[in-house]
Amino acid sequence: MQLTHRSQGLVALVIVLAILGVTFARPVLLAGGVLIGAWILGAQTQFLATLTRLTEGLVVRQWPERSSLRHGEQTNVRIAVRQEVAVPLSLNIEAGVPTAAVPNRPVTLELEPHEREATHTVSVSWPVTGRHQFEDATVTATDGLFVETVTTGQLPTVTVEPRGPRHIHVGEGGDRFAIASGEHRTGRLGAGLEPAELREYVPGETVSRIDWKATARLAKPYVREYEAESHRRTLFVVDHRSALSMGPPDETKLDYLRDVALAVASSAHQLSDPLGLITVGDRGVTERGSVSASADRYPLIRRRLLELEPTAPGDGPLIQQTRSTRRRTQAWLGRSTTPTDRHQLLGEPSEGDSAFVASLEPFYTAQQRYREPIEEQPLYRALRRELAAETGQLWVVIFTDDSNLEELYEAVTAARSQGHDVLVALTPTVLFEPSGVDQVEHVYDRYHAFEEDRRTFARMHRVTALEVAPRDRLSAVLARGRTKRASQ
Amino acid sequence: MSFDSSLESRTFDGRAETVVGATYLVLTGVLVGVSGPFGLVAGLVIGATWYALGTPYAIAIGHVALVGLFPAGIDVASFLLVEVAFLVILIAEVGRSVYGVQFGVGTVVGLTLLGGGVWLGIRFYSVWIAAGLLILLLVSALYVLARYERIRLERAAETGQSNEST
Repeated sequence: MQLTHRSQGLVALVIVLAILGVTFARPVLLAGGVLIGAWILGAQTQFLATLTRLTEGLVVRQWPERSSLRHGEQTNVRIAVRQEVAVPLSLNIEAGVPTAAVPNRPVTLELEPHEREATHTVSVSWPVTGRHQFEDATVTATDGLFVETVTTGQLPTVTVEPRGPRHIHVGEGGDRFAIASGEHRTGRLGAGLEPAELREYVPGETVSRIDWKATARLAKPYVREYEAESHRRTLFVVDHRSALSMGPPDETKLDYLRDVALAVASSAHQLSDPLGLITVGDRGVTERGSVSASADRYPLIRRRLLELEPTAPGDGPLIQQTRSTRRRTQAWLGRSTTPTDRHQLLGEPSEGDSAFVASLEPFYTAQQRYREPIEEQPLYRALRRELAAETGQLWVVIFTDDSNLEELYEAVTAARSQGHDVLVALTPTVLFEPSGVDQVEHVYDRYHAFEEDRRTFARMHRVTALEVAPRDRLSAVLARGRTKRASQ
Repeated sequence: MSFDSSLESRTFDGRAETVVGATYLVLTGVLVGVSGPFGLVAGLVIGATWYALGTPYAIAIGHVALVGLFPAGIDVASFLLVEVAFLVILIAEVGRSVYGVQFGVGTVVGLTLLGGGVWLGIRFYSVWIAAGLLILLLVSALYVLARYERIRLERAAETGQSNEST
């Protein structure tokens, strides 16, 4: 309880009367001081009683209309006060809005004497990501002479999520797929902890390899083989060219791929897998970190992934997902070279080597004359260079979109040809383009085409091809496709 | 209306104000009775002060006026008569909407405490000791009541929290 200026003035009045009484030696002035002092004490007693009554029957509620929102969004915060008995006190109630929240005006509520309830709503923006708990609402009560502040009210929480993809679909043809795997077994025998098989001892092997229990049981010297375990050397190839900037703010193709890449990197880190990263922009490699098991590798990769932004279209060989490139890509998938092309490749056959040419011709039929431009494509070029520098088997994880499937095909083929396993995480451009409800059917057709492309990759040996897409958008498109098929 | 604060203007009770106003007429009558025509002037000034600044200031002005009305000192009978009139004004405050029974109890206890202290000071020591006692007792009483209120509120909050947790 504190004294207001007015009550402080009254105490000062008593002191003045006391001083005057002493100065003029007139006790009658002290009598005036006694009366005023008694009046102040009476008022304080009354305030105390009223305040007790107030706190017993006061209900203050503060709550946000939404408890979960995204960074920078706004939500209304309401504060309501109700008292069982009207009291002759003026109340000022201030909501305990978290420090990280920014209300557009003060979240306060005034209650006049004898008023019993009131409600106030204020729009509050949330610029800080995290979980924010409300503080107690502050009730300031005064009768003009004394002021008291009490805290009360619920403590709701608001969770502010960072902007970015919310529901990520990773899968095949609309079916979800887990890309994080457990321990990697090599399928080969060697040093390890997991027993694989028993075999007879071969003379020349060291005695320490003999499994003496098995030898005693079987009456012959036996050796126990263990399944060799290894760390999977993982190379991330992340495409962040301008084509990956497509999509709503903070929900671009790159944002989706970034989240998946972070998840895969985290999983690999937990398994102590050596990690490497190549990021590819429009003009070429923007970051290169060779595969390494050093302790700082994962934090570096994680930071780099989080910082990754789409590059601006420069003079690099950018291929946008246009209608013409779409047709070209589809042509590539079901390609066939003309007889002229084949003759140019094989040369004019002489009589002696006609059988040889006849044998080779089908292979050349499956070739396409785009190798020279592909060599200049940054993703392919970067991967080729990195693979040339790497020794040993890798798990190459490529994060890109379907803008340039020819280049991707060559990159995957290059990795496979060196015995590496490949995971391709592909974002379908069609699910990131702005389109209305009336275009859903068209979108479905294009998604269907994308799925054909993805399957082409998935059918390749040692290649896993997965789609990365907004789950809600994909579900809507697939639902439309089901409806379409049912109507047919 | 007798008070300057906006809060009190919002809790204004016309009937109670009339009662308090009537007590000032009684006081004016008493002053006229004990000091003659000048008492009427003093009564009007006290009433005007009450209307403009409130009861405590009216009491202060009234007691300063008593010094002027009785330059040679006031006799005990007149003093008691005037003080009773002031006391009636004080008690009349109880009827106002802002102040209830607790005000009356607090006033009476305060009056006993402060009045007793001043009387003891004058009776056994001197006026300045009595003045010191008045200030000391008033400040101490204000502090004790404030602490009591704080402890009571904290205990109430703890009780509320334990009720919520169970």
